[in-house]
Amino acid sequence: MELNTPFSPDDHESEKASNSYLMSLLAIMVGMPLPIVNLIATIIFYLGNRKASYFVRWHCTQALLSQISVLIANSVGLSWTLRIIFTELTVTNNYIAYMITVVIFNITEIIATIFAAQQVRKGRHVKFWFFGTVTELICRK
Amino acid sequence: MKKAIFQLLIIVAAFLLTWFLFSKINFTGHMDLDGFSTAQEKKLGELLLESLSQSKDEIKHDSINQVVNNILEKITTANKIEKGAIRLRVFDDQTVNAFALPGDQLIIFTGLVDYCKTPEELAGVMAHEIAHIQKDHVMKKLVKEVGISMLFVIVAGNGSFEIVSEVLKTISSRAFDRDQESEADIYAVHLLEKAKINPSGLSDFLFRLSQESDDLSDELLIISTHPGSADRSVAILDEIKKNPSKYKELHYDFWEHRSED
Repeated sequence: MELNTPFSPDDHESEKASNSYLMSLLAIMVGMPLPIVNLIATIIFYLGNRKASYFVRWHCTQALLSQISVLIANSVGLSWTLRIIFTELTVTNNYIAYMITVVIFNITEIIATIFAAQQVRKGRHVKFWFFGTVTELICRK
Repeated sequence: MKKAIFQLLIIVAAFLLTWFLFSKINFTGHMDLDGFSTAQEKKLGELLLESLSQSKDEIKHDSINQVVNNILEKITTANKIEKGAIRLRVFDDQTVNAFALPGDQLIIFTGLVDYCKTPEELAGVMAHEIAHIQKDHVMKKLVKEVGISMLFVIVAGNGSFEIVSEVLKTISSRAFDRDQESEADIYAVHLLEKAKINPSGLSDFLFRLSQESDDLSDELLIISTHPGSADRSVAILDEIKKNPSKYKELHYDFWEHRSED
């Protein structure tokens, strides 16, 4: 994670950009049992801010992208759990290990999101590992 | 772009590594069996098999072996069960019986093969016993009926011949509990469906047993290990109806010759 300040957003922009992380944080909590919820919520927020300033769009995009990895991992976990409940599949070491790994990644995501929301609210630019790099590639001024 | 791909690979690798490391922890192995390891289970299975071999002759090169091995291969291959994971042995005994031993061993008596009117019936009984193995019912039953301490004594080599024989008798002549029998029936239906073998053979077999339940001769020992056969036969048919499939009829000379006789 990188912290620098190439932008000088005003207070309104900082608040909006910070809200994108808070939105995704809320969506993670709500969407844990049904992972698609967090992606839909973040997409709606992203679309709502398409015409906002570069700083706001940049952080909305990063918040959206960071949801996708958790979405994939959580969806696999959910489908595996449902198959155990409704088919002859049983709980195995691999399943338990996978779910622990997913929980760890979710917690990491939550911590990173809270941190990003705080920093962005103060007008500081936060660039996540990988997601920040991709955001720079796709988010145009 | 290269930087993004590199970072993505690092994240995926970190996820897979974390998953791999956690999967090395035996979360499920110690749940019910109080630390009885796979190696100890295998050793117990070998001791019980040795005891069985002392009282009965094992059949290794007979047409029956070809039949049962072929059915086992069909079931295991279709269900992605590792080849050789289930060790099948046939013993010369006119008792109608089949049972699972610890260490993933499936024991079949020649009496059972003779009693089955179709290969599907035999495949049904075999799938039922494989289900007991897959669901780890064998060790759970032994722990419940013999006690974990006694099993440790036997594995340590301190159990007398009589004790091992008694444990063998427990595993070969007493039923699993009702829930485990039902679970094994349903699981057997799924195993057979995947192998394209008609699961109604298991239902037919159990129904026939229920009709002959007044016959308490020693040869029909399987009745004592498969109680409530009529109800289970109906439950199996209900399960089959849930997933109508096309099956391949099994043909073996063993039954063809018998029908000619």
